[in-house]
Amino acid sequence: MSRAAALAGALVLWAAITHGNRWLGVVNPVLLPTPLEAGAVALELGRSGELLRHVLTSLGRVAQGFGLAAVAALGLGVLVGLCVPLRLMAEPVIEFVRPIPPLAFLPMFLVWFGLGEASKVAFIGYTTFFPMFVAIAASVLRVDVVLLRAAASLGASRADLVRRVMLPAALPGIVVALRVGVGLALFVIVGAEFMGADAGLGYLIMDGRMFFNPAQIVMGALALGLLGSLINTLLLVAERRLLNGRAAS
Amino acid sequence: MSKVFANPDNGTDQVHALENVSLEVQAGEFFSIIGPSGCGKSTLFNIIGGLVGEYEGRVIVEGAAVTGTHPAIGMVFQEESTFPWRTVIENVAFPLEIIGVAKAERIERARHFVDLVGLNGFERRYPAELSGGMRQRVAICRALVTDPDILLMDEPFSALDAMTRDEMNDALLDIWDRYRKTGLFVTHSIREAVYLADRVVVMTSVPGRIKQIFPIKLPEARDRFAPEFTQYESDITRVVKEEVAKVRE
Repeated sequence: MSRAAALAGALVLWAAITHGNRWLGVVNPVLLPTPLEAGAVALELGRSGELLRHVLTSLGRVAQGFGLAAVAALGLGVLVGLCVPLRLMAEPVIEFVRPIPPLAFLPMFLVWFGLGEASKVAFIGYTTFFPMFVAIAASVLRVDVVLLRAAASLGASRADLVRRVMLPAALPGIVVALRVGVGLALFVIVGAEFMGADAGLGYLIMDGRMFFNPAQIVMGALALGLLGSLINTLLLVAERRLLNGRAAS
Repeated sequence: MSKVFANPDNGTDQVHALENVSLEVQAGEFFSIIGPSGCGKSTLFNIIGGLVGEYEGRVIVEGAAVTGTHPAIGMVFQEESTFPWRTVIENVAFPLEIIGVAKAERIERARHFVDLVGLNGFERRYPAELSGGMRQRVAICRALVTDPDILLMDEPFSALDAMTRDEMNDALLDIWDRYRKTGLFVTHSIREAVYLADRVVVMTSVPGRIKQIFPIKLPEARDRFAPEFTQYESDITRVVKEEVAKVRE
């Protein structure tokens, strides 16, 4: 309830500022689109099916890029978490590569994979891989050694320890890592679609800039926000289902 | 008949955790180990349980030397060791799952022990929903469910308040009445040791050696306030204090 009120309040504030500007004539009204104008663009693009196409295109890219990165981060993260020599090798490389803003590599992805789908998927994959990988490896490493000793004393083999103790014990950390990854994928999709795309929400925003249509830019950004919070809510529900009980206390 | 015979001479690094410790525990005996902090009690516990790989000496169970974990030995740890992602019944059934017992049977066998320690009604609860004492009951059930001959316990009740601790001592004695196990019980509490054990061994401070063994010649149902009981308590306290004083020097 308070959530809805806060959102409504933000909407009112937006309307107040933009309409107030129109009244007082502080800046050119085109530069500050009102909620109604953004809504009109959404309605127009929604009616023609255009908006849905952009949303689905972006979502498809996010799903592919994130999916590939998640599989790789899970496999390698668990491996590195389990194997000390591997970890010692991987750590310095990752610590060096990780702080480089992924956007710095975006042109490289265009050079390698061209302007088509592959470069966008690869870029999202690259961006989301490192944070997920690091977090998954850390959550495997953080598994309480007493649980492993207890399981070993109860006759668990090495394979049992990994499958029945390490993975379930690390699961909360793994789930959070994946959720962060999805959020990040939505974050960078716009950048990936700024260059050489003909569809997607990032493209829609860029198109708004090209044809000087601020209302379309704002609408595109809001659509991304809505999509992001929707996905996050879904993931939180899934997370609660998956981790039922253990958090209760 | 010799049940457990350990002569470990832990020589890892420069720290001599244990030196020339030789114990012989009879079948069905409850044997308690007491000593100042850092005297190697836990090291001894882990060696006998097969969780420490490198040591000098041998662990002999029923006439045969054992290395690694052993089905005849169950362990209960000082730290929280229940699996937070499993319900009470799933925790207790864990060792049965490892050895491939069919689901219906393992639930039935697990339920038997859950009832025995008075956790009926909590079968489907997660550890986070239980008190510390209840969680430790789960850990004890889990160690008992495969019917080991020997139960190793490393300060299992040290995290509990005094009242719960006394209660847990009685719960343990109930189990002993029903299933004559051989018990090795590491503790800091002299009162607890005298209440539970047939014999109490006091260890020296670093490196851990056997200082003195006290046979507790009291009836099975012990009264913590009987003069004989408090006499044992003060005799053992005196010996332990000598060792604690040495650590302080």
